[in-house]
Amino acid sequence: MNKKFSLKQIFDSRGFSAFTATLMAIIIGLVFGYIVMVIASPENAWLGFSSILTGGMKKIGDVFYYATPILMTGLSVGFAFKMGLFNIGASGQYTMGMFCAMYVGFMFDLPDGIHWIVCVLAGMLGGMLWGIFPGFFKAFLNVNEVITAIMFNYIGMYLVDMLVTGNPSMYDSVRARTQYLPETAKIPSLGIEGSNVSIAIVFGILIAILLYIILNMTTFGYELKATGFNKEACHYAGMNGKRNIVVTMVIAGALSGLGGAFAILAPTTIAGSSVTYEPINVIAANGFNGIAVALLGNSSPLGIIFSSIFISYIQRGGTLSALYGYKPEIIDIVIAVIIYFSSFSMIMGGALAKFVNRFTKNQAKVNVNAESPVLPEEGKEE
Amino acid sequence: MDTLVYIIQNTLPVMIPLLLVALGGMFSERSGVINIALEGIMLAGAFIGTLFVYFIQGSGMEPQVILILAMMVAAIAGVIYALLLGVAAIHMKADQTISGTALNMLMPAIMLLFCKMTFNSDGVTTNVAFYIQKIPVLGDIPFIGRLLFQKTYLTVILGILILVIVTIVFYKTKFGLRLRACGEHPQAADSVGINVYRMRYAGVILSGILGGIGGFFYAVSVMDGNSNGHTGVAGFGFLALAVMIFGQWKPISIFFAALFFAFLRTVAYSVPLIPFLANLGIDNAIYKMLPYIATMIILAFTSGKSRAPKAEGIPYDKGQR
Repeated sequence: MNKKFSLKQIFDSRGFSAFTATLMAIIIGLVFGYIVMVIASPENAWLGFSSILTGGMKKIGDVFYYATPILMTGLSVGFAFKMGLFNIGASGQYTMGMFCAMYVGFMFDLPDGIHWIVCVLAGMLGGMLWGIFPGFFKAFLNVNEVITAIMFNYIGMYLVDMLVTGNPSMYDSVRARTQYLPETAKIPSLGIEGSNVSIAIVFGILIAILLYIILNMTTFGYELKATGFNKEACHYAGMNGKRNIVVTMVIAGALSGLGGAFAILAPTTIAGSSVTYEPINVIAANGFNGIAVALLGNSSPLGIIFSSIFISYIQRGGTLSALYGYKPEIIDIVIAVIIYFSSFSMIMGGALAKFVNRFTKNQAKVNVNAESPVLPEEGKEE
Repeated sequence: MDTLVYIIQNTLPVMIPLLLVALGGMFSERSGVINIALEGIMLAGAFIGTLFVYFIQGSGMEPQVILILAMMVAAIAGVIYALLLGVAAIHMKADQTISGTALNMLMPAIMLLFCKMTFNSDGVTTNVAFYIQKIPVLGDIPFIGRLLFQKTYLTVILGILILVIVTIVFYKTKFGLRLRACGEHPQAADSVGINVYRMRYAGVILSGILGGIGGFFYAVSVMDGNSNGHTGVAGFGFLALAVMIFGQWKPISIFFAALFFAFLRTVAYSVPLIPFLANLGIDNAIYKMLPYIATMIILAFTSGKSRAPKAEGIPYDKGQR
């Protein structure tokens, strides 16, 4: 009986219902993806689908490599969400961070071991700079942060493209992309063979844990979440809402900027080369992917660690399913469907908890001595 | 003078998609549903509309008739797609930002998958000449005819017509008043017998119609009758969102906001043709940034009392009074 009581408590907790709901959303998304694959080409569907599920295992280094930037932009969006701000500007902050990191990488000549650190910090500053605008406009000029962020995505993108193409020591006009960065500017590799993954992923995870601590154990974090719940009440309680808005957006910008720096400073497997940037007037996709990551991770820093790795994982699997003639866009569909269904996660989670409660209650009536009630989820999890 | 005429002739076809989609967003948000999904809805309209044109273009129909038919198809596509948002936001009480973002991601993926599998390309390419050199009679009016009815698309006239209808529906009908009430205080609206759920569905459906048409008009007048899954609608859905906020969720203000934005954008893209600007020797990218910067500056000065519909984004719960 004792065990059952604690079980009920777990099922009733918000975190758990969010988790099971996300899990259900993932299952629905994958089933949907499988159906699309069957329609596209039935004979290979199972092979393709299993390569989506397990393909990431074969490229575990790449999973972490591609997870790094979306982890950072995801944290950025998620952190702002806690305050009730929608940071759709992660893209511009990411681009600015990438540019500043690149600028220090090309223009400064610093000793090995220090150079890349300065580059990363410059990237963070670049992101912060672009985070100030939505925060400032929202707090002091009453401009909706969504519109500022969208506008500054474009301004940042055009600005960076202009600065890159106008600087011959950064831009290779023949190949229409940036030059290769010097070795010293690259983040040390994590040492997984055949992959660009760097120690940045470790930093990313540590930053996520730090954010978790800030949100849950500091006054600032408390004020932030409280403002997200009820702005007026917090103003009444004497919290400085305006300052908190700006600080939140600056932190969110710093996180996205780090994402950009981590992306461009990644070590490459081919000696002498580096990741390059093509100034083709397109908004950085990693910023928008960050929104998906944050939503799937329920805006919680720890959840975002897992959601970024999960999204990267099935994306790697998706590229492998091309071997069976499938287009990688199937993965984008799967991710979109997952996010769509996780948007009503609370309703689904609530329904599930109700179902479980009724189930356990019924069981208790039928068999008072039941030691371990069967979890209805167990079958679905597999 | 010729330059000015040229710029205006090119501004209008760019303005219309922005205007229509922003009006769609307005209907949705004034009924209480945040519509981040405008980008996805636009692309749905652009994709299905051009696909329809692709299948019908061999039939020898008049290009302008094809345009009107495809416009209707695009509107239906937009409605169906917007209903995905509606069901999530109204019935499932979902977080509207999240479902909207999901729909923005879903459409390009579906479109790319379909186009890669059927056409082995990233989009739909059509070859119908929608461009109009000169509209008979109207194009002969001195000056104004040259400004508005020459070297243009039918989309401009249709768009202005839609603006007029929307403004009347929004302000002069019972329906418009009720819709607006649902976005401000749904509980009060409900207490006088208005079905809030139905009104919000109406708002979402209207945003689907206008978003789908806007997307197709974008494909016609900006992309020359084609659509592409990679570039999509180049962020026009998000810009329309910005135009809607810039226009204070009011039809006429939205019209001026869209005109302003489209004008600056057209200037930026036609700098080489304007001797005065070309001689200044400023980097072209500065001009491209200009519409966005100018919007921000104006907003900074005018947003002091800007206010979004009060109940937008909050799922309506009958039990909550």
